[in-house]
Amino acid sequence: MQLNSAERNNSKAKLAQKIKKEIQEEYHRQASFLRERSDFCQELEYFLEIFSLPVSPQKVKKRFSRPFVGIYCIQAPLELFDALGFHPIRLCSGSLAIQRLSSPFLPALTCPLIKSCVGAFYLDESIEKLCDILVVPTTCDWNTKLPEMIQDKAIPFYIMELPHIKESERGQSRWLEEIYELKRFLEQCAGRRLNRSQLQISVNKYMKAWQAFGRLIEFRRRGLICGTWSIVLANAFMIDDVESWTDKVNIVLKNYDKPEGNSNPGVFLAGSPVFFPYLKISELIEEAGMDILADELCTSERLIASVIYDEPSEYGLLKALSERYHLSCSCPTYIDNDRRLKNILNTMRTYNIKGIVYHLLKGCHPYDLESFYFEKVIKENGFRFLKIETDYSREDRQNILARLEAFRATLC
Amino acid sequence: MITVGIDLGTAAIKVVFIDQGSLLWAKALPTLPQHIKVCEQLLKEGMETVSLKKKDIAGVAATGYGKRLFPGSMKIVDEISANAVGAYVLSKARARTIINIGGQDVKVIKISCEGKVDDFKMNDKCAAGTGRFFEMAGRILDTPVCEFGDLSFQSLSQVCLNSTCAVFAESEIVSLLSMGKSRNDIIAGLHKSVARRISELTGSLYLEEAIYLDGGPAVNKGLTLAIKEELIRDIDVLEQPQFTVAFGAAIILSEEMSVKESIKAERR
Amino acid sequence: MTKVYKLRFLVQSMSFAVLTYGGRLGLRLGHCLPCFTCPYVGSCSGHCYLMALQRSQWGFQISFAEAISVWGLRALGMFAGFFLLTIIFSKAWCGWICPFGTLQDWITFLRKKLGIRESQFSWTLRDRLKPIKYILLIFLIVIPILIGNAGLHSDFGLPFCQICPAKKLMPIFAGNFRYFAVDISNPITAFMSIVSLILTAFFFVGMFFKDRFFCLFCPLLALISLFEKFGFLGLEKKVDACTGCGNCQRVCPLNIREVHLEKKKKNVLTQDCILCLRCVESCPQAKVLSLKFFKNTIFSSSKDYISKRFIKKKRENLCN
Repeated sequence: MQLNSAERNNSKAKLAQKIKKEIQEEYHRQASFLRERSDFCQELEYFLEIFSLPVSPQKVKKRFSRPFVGIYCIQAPLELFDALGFHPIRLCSGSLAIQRLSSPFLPALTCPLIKSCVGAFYLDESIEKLCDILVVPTTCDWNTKLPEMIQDKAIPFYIMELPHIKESERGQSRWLEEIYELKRFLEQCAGRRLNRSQLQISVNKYMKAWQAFGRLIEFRRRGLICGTWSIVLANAFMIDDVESWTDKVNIVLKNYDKPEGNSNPGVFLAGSPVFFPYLKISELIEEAGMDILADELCTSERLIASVIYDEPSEYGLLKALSERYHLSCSCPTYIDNDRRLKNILNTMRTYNIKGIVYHLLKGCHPYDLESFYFEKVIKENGFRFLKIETDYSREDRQNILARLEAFRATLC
Repeated sequence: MITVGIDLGTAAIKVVFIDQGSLLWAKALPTLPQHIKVCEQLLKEGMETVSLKKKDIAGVAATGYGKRLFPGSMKIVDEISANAVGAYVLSKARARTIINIGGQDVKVIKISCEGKVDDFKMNDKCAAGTGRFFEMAGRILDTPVCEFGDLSFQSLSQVCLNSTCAVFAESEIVSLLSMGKSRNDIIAGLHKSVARRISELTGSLYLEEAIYLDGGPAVNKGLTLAIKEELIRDIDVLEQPQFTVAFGAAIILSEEMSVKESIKAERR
Repeated sequence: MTKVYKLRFLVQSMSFAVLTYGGRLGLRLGHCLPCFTCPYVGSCSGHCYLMALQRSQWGFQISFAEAISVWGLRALGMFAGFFLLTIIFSKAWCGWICPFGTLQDWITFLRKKLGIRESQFSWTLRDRLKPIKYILLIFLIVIPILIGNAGLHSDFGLPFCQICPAKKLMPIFAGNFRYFAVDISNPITAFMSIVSLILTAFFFVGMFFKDRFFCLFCPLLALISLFEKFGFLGLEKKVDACTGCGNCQRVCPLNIREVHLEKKKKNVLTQDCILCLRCVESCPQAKVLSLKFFKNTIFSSSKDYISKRFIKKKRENLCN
């Protein structure tokens, strides 16, 4: 019997409803895992609440009054959106359940993060659909092809072409041009010109966030606040309003201000992004009895950098912004990225971290490619190296845990 | 001091009794859903055989995937460390590299001169080329896995198997059988493909002499030979290779307890 | 924590006052100061070494016969004085003391207040400008030698001073506009004074649109940088910890790229550096850049300093 189109749509809608419920459960489950941790304190509830937003877009609308700009990847300058009256949201996703919606249309080995991001467009309501503008910087191939993956949804993406060489004049000037072009585009959308002092105020707001984040990192290095919470807090920055995020982080840190922290062996977490509710890797590292004293994830420590300008002209400000989001970033999609490894080794030496866990999402090619060279150099420098390749599913927890436990033994 | 090591693996549960570093008794049973029952049964059997009472046993160490399931353990040891220690002691401190083929994983472990884990590689999710793979082949070929070694030596012309995936290899074997290939040739081909998979896994790890093979499938002489040929290296097999991990766990526990006792004695 | 830029502003203003007006109080600091304290400013308290270098008694306008007499010793003594002062403060003379440099910073301050952007040079143009200061240095040594030995007209004497914009601009602060006049006593003086007027106008406009525009061409900077490696002050970088954020490159008034791009060497005191320390101030990585006096760290980069220097507590203070 042939289903008529109404019936077909009806069954599709039912499936979408079912998956939506699964996604909500996934988020709630992860939040309650975090609540049950022994190092949970009431001040952290604020951040868990932030993560109830992706599954209930109506709440997002109520909470933030300004029009939304959705951003894929961390290269789009938040300060610029803020100055022109938009609320920027970084659209990452760590949801496994949502992949059911997108995986039929994507290659099997698609980066899980992209799979989940694409899935959001198949829901009847999502943060993605609330955004007036969606900005995509062309970092990795997955991101570059993202607009193509959702072609049938006819979503108008704004694409920023990222120069993959940073330390050359033409790379820097091309990116500055992109920033100027974005500015013009946003001015058109906002219907007003960029105000120089407004941009200065925005920069200052984000500098305050950077300052709070710097303290968070310092606490983490000393073992006062654990890696998982640090990552959750940083993740929340990607959604939340910057000023209230800064205030709440400062409040949380007051609570963790103790003279001494944990003394488990410390590890460095490098590699592919980790985003709520996909916290498997950090939770397992801690379960195996190690502390993540530092990371370089683009959803955590790489997220916030300082913007320093000494030219208050519009050009000076935009140049400062352009370099902050280009030169400061150590995404492996850059070609001249030799500083990243040096910085990692330096951090490990400074904080006496003996091993590095290299987290790799299956299909995340830039990190995968780098991992082999990293392994060689890191071992040559006398540190331990463990590469863990995985995805959002939970089935390999035991296998990963076994490896992490043995890894811990090698650190002692 | 008598200690017990229990290795709750995915394919089999192994129990060993040791006294001052020497093996008293060891036995393995296939893993059943009732892990604890199997463990207790093995413990009881062991105690009866070596004529021990419960109070004679200083402690029990658990390892393997089910290590947290057994409630009576004093210490939980991760299987990679246990394997390293076990193989190191059993090889009389000679082993520097171990290749362990388990029920659903393959590990390559490098051991330092002091018998500690130096570095290791382990397959992720995919369980190709592990013990399960042989079980599947045994079922299809209608041959007990323990006979694989001898049969592979009777092979005249080895068959090339493309897959080590337990699922795809199954259909490949079926089609080879239907093409009239002999069972022995297929078995020899199986060994070859597993050996290749292991050599891929070792990858960037430089295998230090001496190399030991352990885990259940290590008793298979045909497989050992295939790995030797594939790695172009000499490989030793420990006696009763399936018990190294449990043995290692028991050793770690007994060492820890004797250290504690000596500290106590010093305080007195 | 003292803010370096404030301290620098204070030191600069004080040296400006002392060097420009100190003469009125009878202060005499000699004739070999490694900075543009112009001798044509009537009330100045010390003289720029470039003048001594070109002069007949203390410098190169000297015949070979005179060079091996007591005159040669005098010139050597003058140089010794310059050398000593140079190695003590090194490039800090440029960034912290030089009154002409201070004047340029004030003009830049004014430009920033007006919200006018700084002009940018391309990397190639910036690199091409580098040798000019050495060429000027060679000329200002060769011409006096030619006057002393090859019979070049003595109206070419003090060739650099004749065209130096400081000679025109600095005396203004002593109320003296005399040097803007065109000297038509002979074709040489007429030519030189017209060239100098054009150059002064060029640099004056340049200074407004570009930080430390004159320093890009300054032969004294070139001379100091020749003896830089004997200097007590050093600018050092911990290359492994540098994330390459580019702040140092952006804030540098002389657009020096080496501090940012250096990945191996510790020493990042380059030939154009004026030790203004803006790069150290704006580096967000702890102790990546530091100012050293011998082996001792005087000032180094840190997150805390950045927070204090660049984050404004109240919104109202922002828009300056």
